[in-house]
Amino acid sequence: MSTPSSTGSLACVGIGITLGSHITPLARSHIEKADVVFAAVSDGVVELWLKEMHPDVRSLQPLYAEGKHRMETYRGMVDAMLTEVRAGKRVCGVFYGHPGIFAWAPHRAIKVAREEGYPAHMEPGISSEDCLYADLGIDPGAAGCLHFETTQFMVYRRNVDPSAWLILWQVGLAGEQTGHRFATGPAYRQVLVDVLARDYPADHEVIIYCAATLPFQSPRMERIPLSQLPLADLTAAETLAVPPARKLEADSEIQARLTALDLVPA
Amino acid sequence: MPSIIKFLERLGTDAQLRHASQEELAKALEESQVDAALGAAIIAHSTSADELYALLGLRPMFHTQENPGPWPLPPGVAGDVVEKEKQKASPAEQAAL
Repeated sequence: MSTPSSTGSLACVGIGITLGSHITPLARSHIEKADVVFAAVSDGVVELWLKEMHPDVRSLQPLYAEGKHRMETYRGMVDAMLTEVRAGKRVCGVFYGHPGIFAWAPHRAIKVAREEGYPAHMEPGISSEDCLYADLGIDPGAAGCLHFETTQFMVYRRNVDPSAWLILWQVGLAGEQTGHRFATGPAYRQVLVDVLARDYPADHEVIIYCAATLPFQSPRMERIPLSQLPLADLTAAETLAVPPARKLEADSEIQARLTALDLVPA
Repeated sequence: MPSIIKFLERLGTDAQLRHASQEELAKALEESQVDAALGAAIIAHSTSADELYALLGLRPMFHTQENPGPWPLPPGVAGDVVEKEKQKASPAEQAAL
């Protein structure tokens, strides 16, 4: 760690998913006490709400553009925040949901700030995953729950456990390898269906899920057969939840070893 | 704070309003003096907020924030993958990355 040349600092906070419902008192305090606030939220109304909390909220939306590589956008986010930290400002980066989940820039900005000697930390927020458990009534402790980013799940060989829930994030970008598109189409989703068909029957019921962003909305929870996924109406915000397709399989050898241990006097 | 934003914040923080009926919402909107057209968009109470966005002049936002890669990066765009490769490489190889 080097000695910082100014008294700047960085806090990356999550604003939650649903406007008004999920922001933590500590996240709000970071926002209100910052010198400058950078906003990477998912909704224009949420951004208007954030602007009511602080007079200097700078949207990171202009860094995005159709056809621009996403990594270039994320680098721009990091640079924007760190420029103000280096200028001695108390900076707050506000990200929708949880700032450390499916978000490259906050992790990177905190890492670089710390390497340069500036105080930097992350405050968690309520994520889409948290909302999914509540809305779909899933307890990940019951049968287990695997999470993957959809394209990563497709292009690498992963070990799927059909006795657990499988959650695929950003299913609307299924198979997106270029880094500069924000959606893919039915043909790409058909490839995903083919990958899933290695472990699930075509008529297996899956759930398209999207949490509510505004407090008058309802979450999207649409149940369809797996084979119908290519034709579904999807954006980058949707998630695919695949329920277990088979029962948990007992490992009798391990069970026997554990039972034997129970019989050993303490 | 504009009344619509103030109302939405209240809606998100009030346990009764958050799951209120259309009638209860309409009453709360009237009391809050929210613009009638905006109020109607809220009462529609659906998964889509397109009407509200249109009335407020808002466009859909980009919100993808991750890059699980390793995808090919265009020249001049550095990412974690490139940096990790640089750390593993010899000085001569680093210069080429």
